[in-house]
Amino acid sequence: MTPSPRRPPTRISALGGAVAAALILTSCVSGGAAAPEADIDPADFEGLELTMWSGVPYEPFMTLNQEQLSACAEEIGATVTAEAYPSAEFGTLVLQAGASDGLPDLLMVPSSDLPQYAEGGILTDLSSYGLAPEDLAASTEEMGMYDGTLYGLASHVEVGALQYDTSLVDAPPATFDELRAQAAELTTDDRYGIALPGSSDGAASFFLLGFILSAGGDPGDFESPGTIAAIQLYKDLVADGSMSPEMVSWGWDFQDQYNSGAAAMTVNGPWAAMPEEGEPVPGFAPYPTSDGAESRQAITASEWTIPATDPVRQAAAAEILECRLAADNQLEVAQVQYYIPARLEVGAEWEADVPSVEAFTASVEGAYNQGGELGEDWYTTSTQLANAIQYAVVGDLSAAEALQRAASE
Amino acid sequence: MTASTAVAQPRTVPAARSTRRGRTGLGRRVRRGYLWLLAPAFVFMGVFFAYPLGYGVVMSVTDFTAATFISGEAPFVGFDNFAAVLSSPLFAVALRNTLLVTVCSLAGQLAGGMALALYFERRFPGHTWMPSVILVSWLIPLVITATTWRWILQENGAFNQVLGLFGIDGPAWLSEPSLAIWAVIGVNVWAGLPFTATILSSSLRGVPLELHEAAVLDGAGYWRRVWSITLPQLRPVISVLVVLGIVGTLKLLDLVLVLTGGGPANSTQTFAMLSYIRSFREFDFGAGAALGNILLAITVVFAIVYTRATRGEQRG
Repeated sequence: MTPSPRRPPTRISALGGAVAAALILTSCVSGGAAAPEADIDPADFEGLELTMWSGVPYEPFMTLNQEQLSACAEEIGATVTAEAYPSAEFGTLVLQAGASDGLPDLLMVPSSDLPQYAEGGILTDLSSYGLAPEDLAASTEEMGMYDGTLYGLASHVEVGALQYDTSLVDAPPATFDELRAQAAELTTDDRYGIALPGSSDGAASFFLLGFILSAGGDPGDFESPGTIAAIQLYKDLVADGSMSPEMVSWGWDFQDQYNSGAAAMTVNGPWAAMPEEGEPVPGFAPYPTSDGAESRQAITASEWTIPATDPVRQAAAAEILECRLAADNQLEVAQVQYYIPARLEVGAEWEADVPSVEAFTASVEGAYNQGGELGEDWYTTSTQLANAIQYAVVGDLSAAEALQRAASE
Repeated sequence: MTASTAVAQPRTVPAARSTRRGRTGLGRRVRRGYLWLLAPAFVFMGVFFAYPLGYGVVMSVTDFTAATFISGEAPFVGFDNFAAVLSSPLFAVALRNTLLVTVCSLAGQLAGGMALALYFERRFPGHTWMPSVILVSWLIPLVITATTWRWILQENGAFNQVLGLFGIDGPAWLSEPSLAIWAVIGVNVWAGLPFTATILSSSLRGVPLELHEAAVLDGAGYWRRVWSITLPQLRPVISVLVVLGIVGTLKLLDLVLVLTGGGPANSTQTFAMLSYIRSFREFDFGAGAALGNILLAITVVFAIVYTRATRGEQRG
């Protein structure tokens, strides 16, 4: 929701809001996208104790991230403490910190949330520190931009791919029709052919985007044939008996179906390619396509940003960030955590070592950046796409009707 | 006498005036003292009630987004947020579901709670400790209760496995739009039953035994005594349970969020759930606050109507 151009922005002032507004406004005065001082002496960095926040509370990433940041900080005589929070609470935490002047020196935010933080004025222009995108795909670069300004840089990106059990699937499906046929063949009394998410917690819409794009659709246009074809695919898979209708209640936990052997195929991110002891490595393939379209993926990333705090601390954070984004560090994270390096060359190097991730690395260039394309509308679109899946799958509406109804809500 | 009285009067009248002035001054001081004593209550009400409510009202008439928390800028949009939520097709769905869940949950909890309370009133092995055991399920956080029931109600979950023992092929309770709302109601009744049963059970002990004995002598059977003695005696407690139940169920969020997320196909969408989605998934805090205020108004109306109705009954 963007402010109405007809009405001038007003400050929250009435009733009890006055106290909160005062707090917020105070923080804004001291915040804002202040540019760093040009003549900051690097000697000032000595002894600085910086903090870094992320919404990525997963091991081994957390440990490795701390190690890399500490090594980078040591080069300038500073220290960094990395803190990771559950992703569900992270957005609220950042908003509260932004309102109370309590932001960290380095902030890693989901790319889809970057526009709202940038619009709120808590982030600084990374180019003012001499930082610039280096060897990034256009979509990766765009994820860090807002209103023509570089607010974020990604060290790794995420795309989805079709995941399948190699003991059951010889050749992965290349088209929607092949997917339906193979899913039906793979379905038995105690196993479905495929598991896809359908709940409205964000997983359904993110993984649906790949099907919409691979059918030549526009995720922002609910009347585009590709969007309708993708919803129709979900409806057909359930109607065929190849996918459980319970998918409408599966969120990010939908991959449990594949992991428990209750589904032969699913969709997943690159981390699923990480070998686990005693477990066969699954196969990965680009999303199947429809109507002769090319397989295309949606992309997301965790963007490194520097909040407006203090010129010296911001400059120190920029030094550390430049070091943290180095190719060696990106490769190390890829090897340990199976996150796709943002730098294309590093991605190619990783892929050469781990060929199973090709389906992911090959999708980065030309990927669809939903945050950039839809802006803050993405939040609403995400809910509507999930609702459309549910209306089509268990609501007895056609794909087109389901999309139309979801859009009207 | 008369003269002295006449002379004395001018002396006494000013004295009396003086006394009245003294009393009035003292009264004012006392009243001021009382006011100071009331100050903490006013501060408490202001900080914890008036401020959040006022802030909610302000949010509902502004274009309040996530960026507003940081920038403080929220363009005034009048009643646009209310118009948007009222014109959405989901409003009617949420209204129907909210009322359905509230009425059915309340009826189920009261009927089930009364049945359990009457059952535990009987003397049988374990009748003393069993009421305490059922309280355990009430002590479990609702999120855990909902997560457990989500697993139980899956197509191949424990509930359907039990039904399978009787040859019944149970559906996927949370994935069928026509069944999901009843599953939510059932779990909510289950979650609220121990509280209702415990309150009613303890209240039953306060019903005078003499009334039952007299009724038995008059030939009244068990159900007649329950209907004509027990229920009327418990009416004040039931009234409190009804008000608490209405308020608690109207704003029910965590259970629905975990069980169904408002789905499938928005079939379990309630006001609280819709307000959550608008605010924390779509970051349209203005629309979320508008829904919250509508829910608040409905709750207040419910509470006032019910309180007045029960007062009327008590007077009558």
